Amino acid sequence: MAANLNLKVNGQEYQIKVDPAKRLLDVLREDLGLTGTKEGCGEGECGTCSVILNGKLVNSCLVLALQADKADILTVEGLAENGKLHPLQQAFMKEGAVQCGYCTPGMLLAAKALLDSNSSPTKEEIKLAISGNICRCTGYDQIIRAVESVVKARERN
Amino acid sequence: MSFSYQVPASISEAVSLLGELGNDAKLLAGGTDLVIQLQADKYNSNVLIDISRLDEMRKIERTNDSLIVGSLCTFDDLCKSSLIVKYAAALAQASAAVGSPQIRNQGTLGGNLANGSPAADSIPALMALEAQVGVASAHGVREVKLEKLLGGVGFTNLTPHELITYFRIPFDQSKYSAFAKLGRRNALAIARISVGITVAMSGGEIVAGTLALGAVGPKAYRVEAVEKMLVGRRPARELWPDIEEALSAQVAEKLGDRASAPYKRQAVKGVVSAAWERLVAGMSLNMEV
Repeated sequence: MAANLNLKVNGQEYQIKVDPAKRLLDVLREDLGLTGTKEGCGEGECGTCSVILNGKLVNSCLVLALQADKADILTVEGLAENGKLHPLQQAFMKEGAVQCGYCTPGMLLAAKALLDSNSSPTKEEIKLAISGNICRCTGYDQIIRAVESVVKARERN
Repeated sequence: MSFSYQVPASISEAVSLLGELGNDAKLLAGGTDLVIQLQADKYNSNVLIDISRLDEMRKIERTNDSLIVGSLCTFDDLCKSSLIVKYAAALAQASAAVGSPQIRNQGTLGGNLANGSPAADSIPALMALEAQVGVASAHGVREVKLEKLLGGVGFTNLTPHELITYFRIPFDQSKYSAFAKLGRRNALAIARISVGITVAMSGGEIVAGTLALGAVGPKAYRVEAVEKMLVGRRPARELWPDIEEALSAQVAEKLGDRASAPYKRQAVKGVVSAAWERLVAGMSLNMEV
């Protein structure tokens, strides 16, 4: 029983038919080919499937695709603008915040969601904002430093 | 796994769908528990009723003596609501302790009750706050004491035709509340023990108190023996060893020789004193204002 699904992902409109059992994660990866969003645990523990849904950070493995009908979604593919990496992406590279890279899309979006609602977060607020995202290379220090460096650069400007 | 997906446009449409299809349907609110269960193919329901867009159930309002909290309020809504922080601190604290930022953005208060987990963070807070639950069906709305709806592990006493629409939390200015939980880490921890506590004050003395325990046994419950000990006492340190011992004895009795019992009967002392410290902090904050 496929149903119609309208989505706006990274500024682009999509209209597709989906099985109601499909999760948003599956639609992003399989139907839209946006494989930047990763599946880790599949039960909301690891955060690597995080996307920003109508301005809120969510685990796309815990959202049915049809729940996101008519929603505005940002995935890691939508962070760069006009061929230029987002300041968070640049900072992650500069600070060595990427090792295996599997957690990176979720970490970037968790950091983006934080900065969208709080322009100058403290270190504790940064830690809290990424508390739903697990990095098993344990590069948390570098990730936190990367986010801090973006905050500092913003404050300078 | 195959099902039809219904998106009612109002509460009345939702309850009429439930009246018709309830035995065969599951309600979808935030989905943070249900989507995992669907993936695990734990349900044979043929119909999923997506109520997540019913914004009429996502309000927080204040009346003369109560807060009316819509069942679709997310934990993020609750821990950021100034009304909840001010008049139902235990619920704000419990909401902030749920899962992770992602889960708090998605998970709902009504879903936390409906899912029937013994470790649901909001339940001991709501129970200590003496919440009533608004339940709608095709026959109208009834208000039920929260305790009456707790069934056991994974189920409630709601019928398949009923929908949790709101929580009514009575408040008065003399009442203070707090929540604390013990998990194995800070984020994404399933509670091993959780405590909701309230005291009503008059002339520096406790005139009434409530204490609810979660994750100790199949469902949360009030501990009357401790509640009675609070009355007539001053909220001072001297009171505390008695409360800790009484709770420890309560946990020992409840858990019997379960493997977790020796650990939990000690740990509950720390959890309840953490809740107490928060409660007292809230009290002194209020005195300064």
